[in-house]
Amino acid sequence: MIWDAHAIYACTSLGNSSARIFSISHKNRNVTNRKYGGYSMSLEENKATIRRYTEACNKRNVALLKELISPNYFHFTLQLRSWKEYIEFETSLWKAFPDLHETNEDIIAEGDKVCYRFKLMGTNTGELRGFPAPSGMKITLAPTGKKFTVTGVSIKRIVDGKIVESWAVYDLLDFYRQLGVIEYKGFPEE
Amino acid sequence: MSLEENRTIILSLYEADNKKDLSILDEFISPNFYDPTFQLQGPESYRQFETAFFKGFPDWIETIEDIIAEGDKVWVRFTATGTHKGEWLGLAPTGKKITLKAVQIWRIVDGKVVSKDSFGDLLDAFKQIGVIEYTEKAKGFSLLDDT
Repeated sequence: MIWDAHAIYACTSLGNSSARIFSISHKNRNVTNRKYGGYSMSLEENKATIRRYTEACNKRNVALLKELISPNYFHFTLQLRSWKEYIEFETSLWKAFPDLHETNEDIIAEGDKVCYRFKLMGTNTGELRGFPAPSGMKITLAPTGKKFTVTGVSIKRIVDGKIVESWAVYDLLDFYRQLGVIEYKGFPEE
Repeated sequence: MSLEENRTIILSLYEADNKKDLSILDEFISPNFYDPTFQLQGPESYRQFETAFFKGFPDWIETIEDIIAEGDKVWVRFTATGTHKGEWLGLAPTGKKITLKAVQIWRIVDGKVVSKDSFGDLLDAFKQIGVIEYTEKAKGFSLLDDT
């Protein structure tokens, strides 16, 4: 999770409006499309979209990613505001971690949202550029050569088979510890 | 149980946290409760964990931003804020206010919570409290102000 004051402000204010959108879309359920509970896509179709998305990331399939991600995509956590900003960020990750691989587990769906856990693994053999760091900073880091594995969760909103919004919690604490970038101080001896 | 019933149980647990009133735990936490994140087993260990946490952060408030349910799972996305006013994890109070964005995954069987898994990035929270620092390796980083 990214902790710049900007993101906190944006997530808080936009989070509320998304709660409103959420309740509105639930109210309209059973009215527009009984077959799919008021949404144009079924829950299983939305889950399939997420599986294709993860596979496209793992295969570096930019054409498929473009099909699956809305031009107006918004990633609340990373503050990415379009398809273009998304693919720039994703591409920078592939450079920093050429073997970057994601696996999904525990996927559920309701309404237009899909939630899933993920495990992300990679080796830092390339430069990490403009990556989110504590207290509103972004870091650029020379390759450390270190391997990392982190777990996280993601919530994505899907409209007509395209991902329009993302929220995610990444264990950045564990991530930076594994890369050797931060260490604990002040904790009593365990 | 229906999704709505499961959702109601979970909402009441967040309300209990915000009111610091844990009396409903007996009703909703299963004897088989397990928390893999904090290694808690059973309702009593749940209660002890929460009580210790609220001593560290007495003004802790969780604001729910999204709640999604399917099958026996309920996912909750929330933002929490609190001030580190008491001892927590052996750390003396720092008086620092922290903000934490997190997701919790609850599983409910027959009206009782059997598991709770938490995902929150503690990186900035720990940075705010001042218990992490950059290593020698990090000295060569360029830190760009993101504002």
